[in-house]
Amino acid sequence: MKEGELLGRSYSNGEIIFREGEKGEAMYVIQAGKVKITKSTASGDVTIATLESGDIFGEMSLFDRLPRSATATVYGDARILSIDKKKLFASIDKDPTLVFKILETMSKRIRRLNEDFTALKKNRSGILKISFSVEDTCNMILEEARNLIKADNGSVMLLTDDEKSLSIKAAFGTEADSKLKLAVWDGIAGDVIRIGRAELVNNVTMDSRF
Amino acid sequence: MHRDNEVANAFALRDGSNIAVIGGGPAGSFFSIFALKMARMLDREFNITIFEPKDFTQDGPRGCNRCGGIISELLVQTLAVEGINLPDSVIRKGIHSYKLHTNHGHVYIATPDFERTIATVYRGGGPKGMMKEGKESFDNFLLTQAVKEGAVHESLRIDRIEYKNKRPVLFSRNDEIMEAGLVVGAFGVNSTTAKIFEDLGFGYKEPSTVTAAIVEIHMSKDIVLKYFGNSIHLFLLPDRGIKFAAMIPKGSYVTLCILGQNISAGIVNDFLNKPVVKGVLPKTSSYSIECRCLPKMNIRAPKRPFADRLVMCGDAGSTRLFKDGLGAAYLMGKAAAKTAVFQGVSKEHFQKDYHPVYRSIVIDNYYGKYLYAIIDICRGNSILTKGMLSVVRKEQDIFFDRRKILSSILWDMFTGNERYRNIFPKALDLRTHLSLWKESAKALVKGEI
Repeated sequence: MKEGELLGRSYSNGEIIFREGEKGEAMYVIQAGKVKITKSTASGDVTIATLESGDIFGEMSLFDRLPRSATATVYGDARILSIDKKKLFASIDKDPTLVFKILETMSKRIRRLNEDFTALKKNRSGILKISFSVEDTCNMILEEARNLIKADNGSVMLLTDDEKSLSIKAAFGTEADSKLKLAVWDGIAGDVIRIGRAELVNNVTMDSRF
Repeated sequence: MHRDNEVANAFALRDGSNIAVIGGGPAGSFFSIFALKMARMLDREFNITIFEPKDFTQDGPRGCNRCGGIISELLVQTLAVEGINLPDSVIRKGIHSYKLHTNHGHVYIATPDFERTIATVYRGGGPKGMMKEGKESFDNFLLTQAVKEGAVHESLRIDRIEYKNKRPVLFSRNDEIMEAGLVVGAFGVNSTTAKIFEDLGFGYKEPSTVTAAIVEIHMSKDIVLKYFGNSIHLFLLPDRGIKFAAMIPKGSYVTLCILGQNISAGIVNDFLNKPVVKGVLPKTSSYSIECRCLPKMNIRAPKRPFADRLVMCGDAGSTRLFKDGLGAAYLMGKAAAKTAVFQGVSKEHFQKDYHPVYRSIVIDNYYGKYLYAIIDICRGNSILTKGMLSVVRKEQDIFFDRRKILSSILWDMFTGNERYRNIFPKALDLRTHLSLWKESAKALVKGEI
């Protein structure tokens, strides 16, 4: 039977079903094909999961009323059935056991995330243990920071042995200069060293210390 | 209302209890699927046996369950949420629209984005020769799901039930088959099984029925696609005996369903010769009528659908008037399963937990009768029919769905997407009434739209 005669709506490869940050008004069930769930980070998109026929997705926004936490993109051709939020909640109101399957799916996902998280933690401590190079460790710290904060430039500085200046051990961006050394009390970094507290500066050009 | 707690506890299903399901149609399978899923959640174990002599893998009359075979948008979505995804092999056609035909023209009502949200299926293997197409019947799919959950399917016809030591015992050809902790009556109105339950003397009477007609029209897949597309064609004509008729595309067949009061073979022939019907079908040489039957349809639910260790669901109990029988089977099957697993199997348990769901369908049908009465008035009067068509056509140009009241009423009425009770308030919408009367007045003055 032709695809156009079966249940759901047909999507082509690369079509976006919803984007991260959008308001969620429906959840979805894959009838055929695959859907990639991706999350954007400063260093690019990360694929969280690849879902297949029979899987549900998009349910989180319906229950926590927050914007979509990730983007759903069709991988190859696919057919997707949408389930409207209002109709779903009306059905759940009549029969609360309808959420059993959704809870089961969410529980499985949390369980998998716990496993991933534990594995990640193990790997990280492993990586730190085997990273003898200060530069490698600093680069890893900077990379992790980039995943958390969108930034154009960044660097990790360490106090020199004489504690009189800061030397750049890892850097990225157009203004990155790993040979540069700063006097220990200069600039924003100097303030952070002196006060001993982290600081988030959204626009350094507007900061008089820069 | 409960007997004392000691007696009520005696009606809680114990681990290893036998549950006999008489009838392996959707109501019986839904009951079994949900009872087994819920039991597993509670770490309980029941032995469910489904007694169904019919073989749903067979095409032709041997596997047929005499049904239009439409799965409403609501049921498709609800089953998907339940994790029961209808496989492509079961779907004969995904439907995204209804085309409403009258003697004064037609209108087209579609889902947003033309998403195919309604499924057409065959309850059995379909008309003779259909099994060659590699498809599966809906009833067989559900029965297989129940077996996968742990139920046992026995191709036996149960012909007698007796209470021994206050427990039902099942017989087939005088052989004792099993003593059951619970018997679920999930047979159809076209079987003779109702008599077994009437004979038990707890007050159950076979549901009142009317005769409908189902006709299988064969044509090539391309012709079905060209003439019917992904639309169900609905006919609202000013015939006294016919409430409405629907042509339901299914691969290389179109199922014609005629619903009304005691439809006969003559009414079917007259219907097929009506100009508006001929206008929808291709030329006569392009199609052939493969089979036809006049099945009974449940129109009034029995008053006593349960007793101690006994519950009736699906067509044997209450079902939706003229639509969404499969949706009603799901509701009843699941409600009976919930009561049996979480509460117990005494008549008090069923009265408290199952009867409200059962009764809600009975009450809903009262709203349905009222709504069909309004539609009867509209289809019987050419001016009102023209007015109705004109309002729906104008609504199709409106962007906001919430203003498409009459379209929404017709869609929900005939697709089974909404309970009659929820459609009823829309039928009281003043703006829609004004539009209807305005367009009808225009039709009266102009003599046409």
